[in-house]
Amino acid sequence: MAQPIYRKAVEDTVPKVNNEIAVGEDVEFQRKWWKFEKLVWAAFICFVLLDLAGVFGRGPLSKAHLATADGTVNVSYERVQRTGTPSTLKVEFRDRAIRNKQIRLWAGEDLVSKLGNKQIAPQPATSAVGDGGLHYTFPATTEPAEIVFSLQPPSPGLYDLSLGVDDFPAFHFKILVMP
Amino acid sequence: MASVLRAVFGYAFLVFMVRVVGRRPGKQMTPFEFVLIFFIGGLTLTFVVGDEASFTNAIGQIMTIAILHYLIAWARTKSSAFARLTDGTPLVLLEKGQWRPLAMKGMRIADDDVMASARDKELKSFDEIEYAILERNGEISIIKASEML
Repeated sequence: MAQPIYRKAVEDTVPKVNNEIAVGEDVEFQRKWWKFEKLVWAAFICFVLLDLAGVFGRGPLSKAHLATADGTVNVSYERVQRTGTPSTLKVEFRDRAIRNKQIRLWAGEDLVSKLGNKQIAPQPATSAVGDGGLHYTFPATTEPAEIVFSLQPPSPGLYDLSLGVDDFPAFHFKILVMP
Repeated sequence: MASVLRAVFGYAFLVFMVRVVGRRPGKQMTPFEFVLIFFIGGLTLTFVVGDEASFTNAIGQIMTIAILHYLIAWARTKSSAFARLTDGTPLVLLEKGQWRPLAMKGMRIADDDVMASARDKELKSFDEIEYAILERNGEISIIKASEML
């Protein structure tokens, strides 16, 4: 047997304007929403300004620089990076850092595993795993010599990175990778 | 897992952005609003899809968005407060020969937007309009003065 069709009486549930047209206007809610919207627009502007400044990476405030006391080894990098976005870490060597036309550099394992090191220019003459990282040897015929690590972090997070050059105190620094 | 979460965030973010940016899509959409909708949609796709351009990922994300859409539509029918949050409330823009300037300014609607809708109803001037109401879908409903007699 067919089911009876369920019916319900129509009720005047939508509030009327001037008691003549059912609109369902809620002016009080709308006033609150406009106030909320103003806050949201202010937040958007703040976000964009911070973004332009580089607080979230790819801007002037994200650039960082480290150097030994005598300026022999300089490291330039972006302290805030973005997931899947290429960036570079440059290490510049002068004077005593170059020995027998060679540079010996040790990098912590986060350089490859967390920061997605894709390429090194110039190519190292040797590379070996050890001491919780990688030991590299680079040929250096001119001074200053610069080594560029191309990074592309695969996932967000705060990563510790260490770089060491023979006879110099190691650099320890943090890199924040934004989602 | 991550791609489903990205789809959830992307959908929620787009719903929120479109809600905040304003209620003028649909019939009232002008060329610069087309740019807005497509541009925001395209940019959202970049992080939602990421580098996972697989069939499985696409199907998973589409189904995620379908479920979210269903849930939001269902929640709207259950709670008028939730419906107001997602869609807003209808607003009277013009009432018996009087503008409501706060509503016009707040919704970033000009008088010629109202007149465009009035012409759609074959009205020739504002004095033929009894009510102009900005609906939740962004359209402007026009009630003719003659209809109220």
